[in-house]
Amino acid sequence: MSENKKQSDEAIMMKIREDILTPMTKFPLSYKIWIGSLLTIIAVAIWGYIIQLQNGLGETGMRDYVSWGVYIASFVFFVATALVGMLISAVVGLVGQKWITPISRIAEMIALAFAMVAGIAIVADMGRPDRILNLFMHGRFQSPIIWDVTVVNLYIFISILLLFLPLLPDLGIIRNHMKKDLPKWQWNLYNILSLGWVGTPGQYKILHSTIRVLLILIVPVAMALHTVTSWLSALTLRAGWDSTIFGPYYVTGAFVAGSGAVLVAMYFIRKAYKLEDYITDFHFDKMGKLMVLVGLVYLYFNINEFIVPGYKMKAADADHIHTLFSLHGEYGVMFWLTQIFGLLLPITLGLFKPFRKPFPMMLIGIAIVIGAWFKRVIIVVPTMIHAYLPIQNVPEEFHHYSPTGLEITVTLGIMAMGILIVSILVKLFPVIPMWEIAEEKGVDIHKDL
Amino acid sequence: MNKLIKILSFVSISLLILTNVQAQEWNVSAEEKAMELGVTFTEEIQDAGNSIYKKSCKMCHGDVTIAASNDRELPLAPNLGATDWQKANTDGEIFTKITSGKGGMPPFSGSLSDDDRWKIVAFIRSNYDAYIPPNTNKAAEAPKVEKFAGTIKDIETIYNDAAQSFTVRIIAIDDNGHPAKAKGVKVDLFVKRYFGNMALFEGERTDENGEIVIEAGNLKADNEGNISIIAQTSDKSIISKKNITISYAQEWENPILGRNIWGTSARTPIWMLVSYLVFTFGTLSVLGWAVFQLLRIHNLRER
Amino acid sequence: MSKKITPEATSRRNFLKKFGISVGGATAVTSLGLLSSCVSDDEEKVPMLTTDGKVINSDKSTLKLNLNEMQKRSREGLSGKKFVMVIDLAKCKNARKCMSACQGAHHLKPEQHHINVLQTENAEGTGFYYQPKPCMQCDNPPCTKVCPVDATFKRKDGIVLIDNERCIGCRFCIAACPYSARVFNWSEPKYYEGDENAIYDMELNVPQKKGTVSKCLFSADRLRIGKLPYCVSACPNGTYWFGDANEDAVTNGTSKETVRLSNLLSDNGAYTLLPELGTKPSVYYLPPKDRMFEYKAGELNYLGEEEPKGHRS
Repeated sequence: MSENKKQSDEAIMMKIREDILTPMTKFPLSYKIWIGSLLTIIAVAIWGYIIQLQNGLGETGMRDYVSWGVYIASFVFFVATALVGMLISAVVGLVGQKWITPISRIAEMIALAFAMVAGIAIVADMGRPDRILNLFMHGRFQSPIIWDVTVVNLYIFISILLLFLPLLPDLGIIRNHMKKDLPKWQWNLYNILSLGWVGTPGQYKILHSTIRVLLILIVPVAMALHTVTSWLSALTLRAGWDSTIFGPYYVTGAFVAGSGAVLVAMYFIRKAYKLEDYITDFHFDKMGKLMVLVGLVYLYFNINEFIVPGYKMKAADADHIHTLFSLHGEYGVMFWLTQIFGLLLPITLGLFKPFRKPFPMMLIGIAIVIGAWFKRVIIVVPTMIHAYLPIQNVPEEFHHYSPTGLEITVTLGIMAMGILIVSILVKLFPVIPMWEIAEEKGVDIHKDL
Repeated sequence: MNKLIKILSFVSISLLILTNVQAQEWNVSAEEKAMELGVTFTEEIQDAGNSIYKKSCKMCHGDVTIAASNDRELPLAPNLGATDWQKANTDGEIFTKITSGKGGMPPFSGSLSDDDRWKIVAFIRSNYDAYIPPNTNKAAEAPKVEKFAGTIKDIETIYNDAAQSFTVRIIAIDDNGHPAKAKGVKVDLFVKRYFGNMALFEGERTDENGEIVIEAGNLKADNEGNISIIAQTSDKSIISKKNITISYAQEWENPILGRNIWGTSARTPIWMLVSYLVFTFGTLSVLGWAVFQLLRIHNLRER
Repeated sequence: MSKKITPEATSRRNFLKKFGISVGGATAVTSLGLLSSCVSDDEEKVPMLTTDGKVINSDKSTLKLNLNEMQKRSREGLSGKKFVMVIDLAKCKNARKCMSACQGAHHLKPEQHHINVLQTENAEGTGFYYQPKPCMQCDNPPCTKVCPVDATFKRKDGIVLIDNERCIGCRFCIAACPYSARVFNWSEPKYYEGDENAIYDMELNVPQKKGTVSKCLFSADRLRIGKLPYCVSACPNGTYWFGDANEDAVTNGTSKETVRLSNLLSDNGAYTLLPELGTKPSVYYLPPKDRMFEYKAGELNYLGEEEPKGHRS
């Protein structure tokens, strides 16, 4: 190898290290305020949850008829968003798209964080969280909840590995170059986590093959995760849930929600870390196109999900459809706002290049994420206000559902927890896979960088 | 304020109930009062009336027992065997009351035919010794039922497995102490059930052989094919209990056994268990392999 | 709630509690049962049905059962039985004695219904009638299928029970039940005197527990001692028939008349609720033909107060 090449490699690596590792060592005021406010929300939510624990779920707006509310909707939303890890890294990555390299780690971090808080949302919804071990002591293999618990944990496990494995060379770089820039404990942490990475061809060989196997494995596991989540509804006899396409409907919906979340995260991380050289307009453009693609697929499933029962108008389905479609229906306004701002508008705008610029993409991403959350409420709640038999001899509040302040606080707290995990992960680890960027730039990475 | 409304509404409801139950008067026209008993006053008709009474009236009025005046309080409806009540009401009045009801008593015009309602009147009147049937001629035309004069000793029940029929026979002696065939004795036959005795027949009269034969038709028995039956004279002077065994015993099917009805028990269908375990442990083993690869990477740390 | 209990009352209550018999329930039944001829007041001997189907008369004092034994017994159920209920809609006049007896027995709040008398019509304009709706005790229960911890389960006598010592409160069963038969203890349940020391009786689901699901159990505790359910014996109008399908016999809760189940069903054109869902209910309805009582448009609200006009969801 020529001396010139060595020098240019070293120069490229210097720049990459400078660009990506420097933000990790800085804690600007904005970051502190951000973390502080997240922690405040979480603290208030914990206080709310303690009240809920003491007084029971009666503190929420849920009652005997609408017995699942925003907690379950949030659970579905978190699981949906978590699926983006599989979409970006596995589906897009495995078909050979190179542009995902700088955003794949962001996607993995979102996936891990949201898969973890999904479990918290479920615990918040439980009437007897103290008996959670019953799931292991008395678990029934016939129950979709057991399947869900199993597959959520498997997904978290895979997400951790898929986040950690591509981190190894980067951890090696940090260990080699950051000893004096970092507190001792932090450097020790990276030292241990790097597992003695020195970048030998043998290590790379193992790394590549393992990542590849995991990327293949995450596809069925993620599909199973969201399909099973959809079955929590679809395996019941309720009108509005009793649907055969709920599995793919949820999975494609998850892709939309996930790409929205990635767009937002990309924008703010790029801005905070000044990563304009790495996450470029080109990446927003590509992500926008991906969003339009998955949005169109989701739109197709939406059409199926609503037109088919809407055409037949079976008695119970008809009640459900009226609630959603009619603007006078209880959920009519929410339904149309969700569909327009969460799906139709993003798809339409995403078709035009000017809207695939970073800033509009971020706004569209926010609309998608908010829409995705409300869409989960639309999926969970309206079905339950239509029981097959009349709802009578119960107080007025049993007929409808409106979440209480406490319920919303706890939900926001869980969301804040997810965002907090992402915020900590992006501070703790390089958000851009340095070695992959270096490899793309032609640096010989088969050595201790 | 709310409390006040609650109290007020409670008071008004109580008043409403009271007016319904007590203050409201029977509204029977003179014409209706004058109606004559619409059926012949025979024992057969009275028995028929009794069985309708049991189904439609007994739940509120209870058994009709002869008493001077009503001996029951609300919520029980009055004893229709009260002599003063019987004296005060004409046949037509009783009939009209059954027909149109009042307050807590429903109108039976829809659920019972005219004939059935008259039969109830006939039954009620059979508990009133001073009652004179309106058309005695008609009553005279009806065949008189002969009452058995001898002494009833016992009741015997024979089960015929082939025909799935019961023969209930009265064992009796005549005045001379000789075995006799007791004709015209009223007999009941019950099958013992978990919450009560189920009548195969009630108040039936024995034929000239002193017997009643009834086809039971696929009577359900317990696992061993046993059925407990009770035969008695309708006046309950002789009661005979017996266990019989039938040949067509039906095996009781435990609804939760078998893996096919997987939803109802802790048993998991094998296909589901295998799918679950293969998926879970398949994934876990790949993950375990991945962790092992980390170890290999670690072992390669020295160049 | 007053905690003052006289010593005798306490001892009597504790005494009864040990057999899983609630005082509330017992008094509700004796006071509401119009013809209590079949309700024996025998304090010394209790007829008990063993798990292999034999009836034994046991001395009450020998029947001290602990929680584990009660749980085991309750999960097993009565052998050889298949309990069914037949509801004669022509007889129901919305007296709601079933509802109050049930709520008393199971320590429920006014808005919690194991049995609920609905005002319903079969199709628009065909006229309303009163329809008592207990749990259907389905033979293909959608609720037990989804339970993650086997807290709700079907017994061999056909009853679907719930173990509130195990329930994790996920409410999947509530979502799965098409008959809305299940209720949840959203907050502290209504405790009765003595509930705090009571041994939990799964067949009565008393004491109720916060954060768990509750539902109609066909009064499994009463069936064990050969008595009709609380609601059935409380009805003043002869609406309910209850019995054992294996014996092909049902007994009327009011007149105590026992008839053949198969005849009763076929003679009256009986039907089950939402049969198209394939849940195979154990509760049959007889059509509201030749009604004994007229339907009144006014409605009582859940506290039993009158409301101006009926509303349906």
